[in-house]
Amino acid sequence: MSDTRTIVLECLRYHPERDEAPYHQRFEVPFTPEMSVLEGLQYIKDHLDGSLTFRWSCRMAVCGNCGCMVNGEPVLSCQVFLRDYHPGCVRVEPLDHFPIQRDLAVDPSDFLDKLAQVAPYLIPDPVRTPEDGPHRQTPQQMQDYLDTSACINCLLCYAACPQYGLKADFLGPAALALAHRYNADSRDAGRARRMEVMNSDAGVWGCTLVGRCSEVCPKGVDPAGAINRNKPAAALDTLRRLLQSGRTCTS
Amino acid sequence: MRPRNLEPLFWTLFGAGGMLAALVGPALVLILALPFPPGALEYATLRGAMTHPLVALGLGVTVGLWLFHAAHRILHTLYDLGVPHAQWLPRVCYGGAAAGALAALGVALAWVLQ
Amino acid sequence: MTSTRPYIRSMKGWWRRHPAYRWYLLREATSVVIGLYALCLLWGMTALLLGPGAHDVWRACVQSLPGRVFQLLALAAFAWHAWTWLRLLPLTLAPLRLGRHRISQTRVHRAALGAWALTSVALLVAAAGGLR
Ligand code: SF4
Ligand code: FES
Repeated sequence: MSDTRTIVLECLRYHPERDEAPYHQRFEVPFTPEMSVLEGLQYIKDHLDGSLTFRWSCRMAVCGNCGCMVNGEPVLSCQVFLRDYHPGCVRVEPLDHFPIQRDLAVDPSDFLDKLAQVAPYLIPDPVRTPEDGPHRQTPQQMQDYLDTSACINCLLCYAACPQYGLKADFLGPAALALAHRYNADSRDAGRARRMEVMNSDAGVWGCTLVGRCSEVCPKGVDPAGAINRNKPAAALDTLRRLLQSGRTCTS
Repeated sequence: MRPRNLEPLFWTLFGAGGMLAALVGPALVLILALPFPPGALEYATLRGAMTHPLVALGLGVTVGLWLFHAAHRILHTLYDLGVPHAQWLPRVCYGGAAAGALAALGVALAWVLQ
Repeated sequence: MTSTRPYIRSMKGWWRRHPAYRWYLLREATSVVIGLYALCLLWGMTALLLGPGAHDVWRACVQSLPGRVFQLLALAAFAWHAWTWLRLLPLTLAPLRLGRHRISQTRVHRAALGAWALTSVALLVAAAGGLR
């Protein structure tokens, strides 16, 4: 095909059973204008080196599996195109701040543990059963959480957050944004329970508003906003606790 | 229930100081830096301004909150730069800010009361 | 699973990885200048209280060459602080509503900039009138 050109993909390689430390390997990949970086990786796996390991599923920015660092930016590799990097080279690395499992695949279990801590599901009060029928809300009530509910757990925001890299127990952008998503839902009554984790150094106070999480999010979730909107509420919560403990001490 | 730590209170002081620094900071620096009106830094002129209780108290509160703002950001930036979390570090930062803020409020009160 | 040996990358020099991190550190660094400037004001208001002699020392320092350079630095630091602070302000506020519509973050940002301009002009006018 006439519009086929060649581009260099520089992939980070790491096979734990063989390599002491990661290194970069260059591949020359022929590409057409509609080829994404993910398709470049697939070309390598199919034609150049079958041992290259990376994750993907939907190829359409929905599943959140294919995130990686491309030239230092956390991106969905299915959403960025080789043509935009030509004639430069494309450096593909696993998402920053996560342990490298193998080549471009990281170990996300730390995020999954932390996600579970914020109870990312509706906690209705009183408890409802299917007999109660649908739990209605107005379009306006839905607007309150719709943005944050678009999260696909791609972890790009974690790779963009130095605080997550620096502090082992910081819950991080997406987990806190999802906590906010359920707090903001009119059908939910779990705010007090989530406040326990959110109002802590691992929660909203671990954030110094670097703000890059919101810049790299492919779904417009704005985790930085979701986290920082909870700081005044958490501060009030602390004040309330202080007043209460003062009252119980004097009584 | 006791609060886990005082971070939220320091954050509130940091936020108030940051807001004040953003809103009045640049103008205040400009006023004291410009030789306008001529003789603005003369003893008598400044004394005249400070005898207004709003000016004295406003300046005292502003100075105190700026110190808390600075202490909070400096502490967290030190952590960012890799300084290990030690107990004495926040004590020095916030303790220093509290001492400075108390001094500023004291001086402001002295202006109001004289 | 004993054969897996995940590789953990170091965070050393993390700010070198992206310009946005260096802009962030520059924003945080303004606080050092703001703190020093607050101390300078504290000194000034104390000296003014103590009498003309102490005030002369303060004024001589403020109007010396290093003092002027410091004030220039303070102006830059406060301006950068104000710009970044007001830009991030909408992130800390709960979304404001006007009837059915949410007020967009851009609007809140513009309103904050307007409030800043207004306070600054008011302060400058008051000083021009009051410091005569
Ligand atoms: S908040 Fe955005 S960047 Fe973070 S995991 Fe969700 S979709 Fe990805
Ligand atoms: S492959 Fe599903 S998001 Fe890219």
